[in-house]
Amino acid sequence: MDSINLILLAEFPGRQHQIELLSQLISQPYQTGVPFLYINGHTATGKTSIISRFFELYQLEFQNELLQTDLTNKKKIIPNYAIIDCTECTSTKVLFRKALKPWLGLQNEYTTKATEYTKCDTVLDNAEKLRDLDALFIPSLLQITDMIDLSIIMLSSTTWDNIRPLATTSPEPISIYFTQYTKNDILNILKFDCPKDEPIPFFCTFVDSLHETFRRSCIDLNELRRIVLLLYPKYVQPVFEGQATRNETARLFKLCQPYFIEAIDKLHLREISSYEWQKNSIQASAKNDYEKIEKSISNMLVDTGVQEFPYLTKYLLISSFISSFNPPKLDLQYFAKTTEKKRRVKRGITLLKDSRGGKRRQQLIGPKAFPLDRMLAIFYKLLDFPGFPTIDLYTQISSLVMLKLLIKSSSEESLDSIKYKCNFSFEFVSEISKSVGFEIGKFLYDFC
Amino acid sequence: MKTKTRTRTSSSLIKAQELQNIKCLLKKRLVGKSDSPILVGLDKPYKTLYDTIERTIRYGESNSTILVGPRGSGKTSLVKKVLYDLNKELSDSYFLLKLSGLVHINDRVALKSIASQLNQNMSLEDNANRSAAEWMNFLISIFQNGDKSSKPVVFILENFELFALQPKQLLLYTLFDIAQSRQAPVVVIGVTSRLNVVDLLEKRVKSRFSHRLINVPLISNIEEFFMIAHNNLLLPFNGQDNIDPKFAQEFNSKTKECLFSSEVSAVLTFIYNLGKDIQLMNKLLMLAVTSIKISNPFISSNQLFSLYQNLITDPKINLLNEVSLLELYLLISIKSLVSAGNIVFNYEMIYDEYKKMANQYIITSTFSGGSIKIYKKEVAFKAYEYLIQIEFIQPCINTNTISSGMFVNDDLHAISSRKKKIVFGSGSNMKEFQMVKLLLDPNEIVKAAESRKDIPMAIRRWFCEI
Repeated sequence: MDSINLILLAEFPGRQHQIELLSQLISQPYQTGVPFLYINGHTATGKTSIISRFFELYQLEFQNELLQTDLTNKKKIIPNYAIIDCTECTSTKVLFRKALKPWLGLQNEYTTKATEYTKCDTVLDNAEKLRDLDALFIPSLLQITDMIDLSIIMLSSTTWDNIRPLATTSPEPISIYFTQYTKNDILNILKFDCPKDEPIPFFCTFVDSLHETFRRSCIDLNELRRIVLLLYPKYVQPVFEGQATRNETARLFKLCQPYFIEAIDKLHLREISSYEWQKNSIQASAKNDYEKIEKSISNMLVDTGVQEFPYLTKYLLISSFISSFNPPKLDLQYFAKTTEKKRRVKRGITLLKDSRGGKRRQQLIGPKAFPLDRMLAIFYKLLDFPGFPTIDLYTQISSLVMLKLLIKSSSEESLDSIKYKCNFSFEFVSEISKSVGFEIGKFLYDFC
Repeated sequence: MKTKTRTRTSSSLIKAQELQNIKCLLKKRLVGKSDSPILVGLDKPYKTLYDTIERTIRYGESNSTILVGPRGSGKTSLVKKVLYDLNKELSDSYFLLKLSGLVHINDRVALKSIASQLNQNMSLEDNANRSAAEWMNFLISIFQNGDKSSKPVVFILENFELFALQPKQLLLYTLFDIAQSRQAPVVVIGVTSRLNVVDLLEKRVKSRFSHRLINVPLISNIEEFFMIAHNNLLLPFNGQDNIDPKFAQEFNSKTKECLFSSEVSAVLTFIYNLGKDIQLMNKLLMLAVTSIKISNPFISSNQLFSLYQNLITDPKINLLNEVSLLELYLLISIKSLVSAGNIVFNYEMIYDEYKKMANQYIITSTFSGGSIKIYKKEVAFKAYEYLIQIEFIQPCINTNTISSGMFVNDDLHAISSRKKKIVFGSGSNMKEFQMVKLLLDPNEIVKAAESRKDIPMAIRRWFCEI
């Protein structure tokens, strides 16, 4: 067991406590282990990788031991394990099949009693997904540990409190908590990612400052690794182009700065694929000024397809947005002729005062369903073009429904009385109105 | 290296292999897998149960009983102990059939299991493809053909209440009917933690049940609680199980010293007052046993105390203390929304609140220094989705679902209907507007925020206000 510990400690910096606890709890294969372990912690704290590596080594060690001792001694047990990702298990059948596979693979016989030779620890990754299978599934699964000697190990990023079955009592797990990595740990781990022909201290200063800029919004190690991988080539590029030497870190950072700022949000959100980023960022050299870089990055963004809508369809979208978010009472105020507006304005103001700034305003709560007639009325008003042939509009509306930009929210009785809801954001609609030169802000009630 | 370890082991009190054996023995006890568990304070139910089973085996009197007692009162251990003691005298003179309501979820599975358990002992011809009705007929015919002189059968039904929740209660009816009609000697023992279990039985089943309930009480005083802890860690010192008696005696005295030290006894008293929770105590002792090292093969009070501190920390708080700063901002915004009286809220509201807070800070920043960044909506949304993933907040449809979230245990269908969980972003509506509710105590958010060092002053002031 000690040799496993040493290997793991070298491979996973900053996980000393967890590894020690783990090897204490999962004992020798011929001993009673802990029947039920629950491992939780934030994402990217090494839960899955440590457990799978641990069992790999664990099995290897006892297989070797078995080979060394004489084979007639049947008391030796080869530990076996199954690591199951519960997201893949859509039914209990799939899960059991996966759990039994390593057992059967070792023995090739269905009929022999499995408990006699092997013990098969079962690791359930993403254990919170088990709740979806059956309300009684978790307690019945845990019953198995009463019958045969194996450990069930659940991994999850939520706590056991959220998974604990309510229907019956079930055994309580011993839990191991995987803490978030400290800054030193993160730097140590990212060191492994250093490219082969690059000096490590140079790489470390880069990682260090990247972590500083990023830690507030994201401490997910996986994300950090990805960003390091993508931004590092940009950082060293000036060195190869002869603009700076490796000692001039300040200058290097200055040259790289625009990429940092521009790319961080976009890469983080995966708006640009890493392939595209690598392909295009090499073309845009660090010599260029800031604006060009910004352009080169924003060019990489996928087109939203806004430009391709026909002119009138854009107005349809705008008017459906207005009718979804404005209260019908105020239509008169916004769209009536000036004389009428004056008469009504007093009532309007009192209404405005009542609800402005509250957390229950329509902008925050979400779109409301509107009857088609109202939307069309607003549409005609916006275009100031009455008597439009409606037949083509209906085909446009139905194609917008197909695109899921509008959602039908009533039963399909007749085409006229159907209610719709808009299904796009304010950002989307403002982009559209910009493209047709329409100021939507003027027509929206209680937006900020 | 090797010589070094060898010298150390020989000089220490005990050999590595021996320590492994001891650990294994203790672990088995603490997990509840020991063949003869130690019972404390259960003399009366033990005697009743023992008599009931013994009479069936010795004199062929059929009977049925239900063991009722709260969780952790030792029902399963009691059954185990009784069977272990019976086996000493009367082994091979009866069949034992164990069923569990969790595993044998319908009649077909249960009957098949009964047949296969009998098959192991009786070597019946193997019939794999039978329907449930055929199995039932087969089972009834076996018992009908028997008389008082045939080999008695002991049925143990764990999670008895789940058998009672099965439609028509066919299995229970059959078993109780056999027990009552005195064909072959049969004793049916149900084990359940549900106190009103008899009410669940249908009339025809109830009339066939002998109405014998054995009440297994929780331990009644703290001395018994300590006794259980002590007994669970007691090593046999008469040379049993290849354990060196000298070491066993030393181990026992050290354990006793440790358990009755002021620190540990305070811990145990706390556990006792909390819920007389033997499982929690066993968990603690289990951790202590696994961390025994060869260099110091005893349980120390300091170690036990620190393990206990780890054990009772709420994992949610741990998670909460380690979220990123942006996630914490969102949580504080949520707390502010909750304090303002919103039970449910959506992402737009949270982001709006966050923006309000950040904008306020821009005005005051000239006085306090430092800066707080307004993250883009999309970046913040990613953090928000992560909060859903770790289940600090949970999607819900509307306010009504919260109050009707109570869940009744009475019906299997009611249990499985809970399956219809709302998955985030599953509907056609936009994720930003989907209502969510908070699964944390709002005060914990403030506590976590207060303990953070890297949080700007303005935020500190802000959550003090809300």
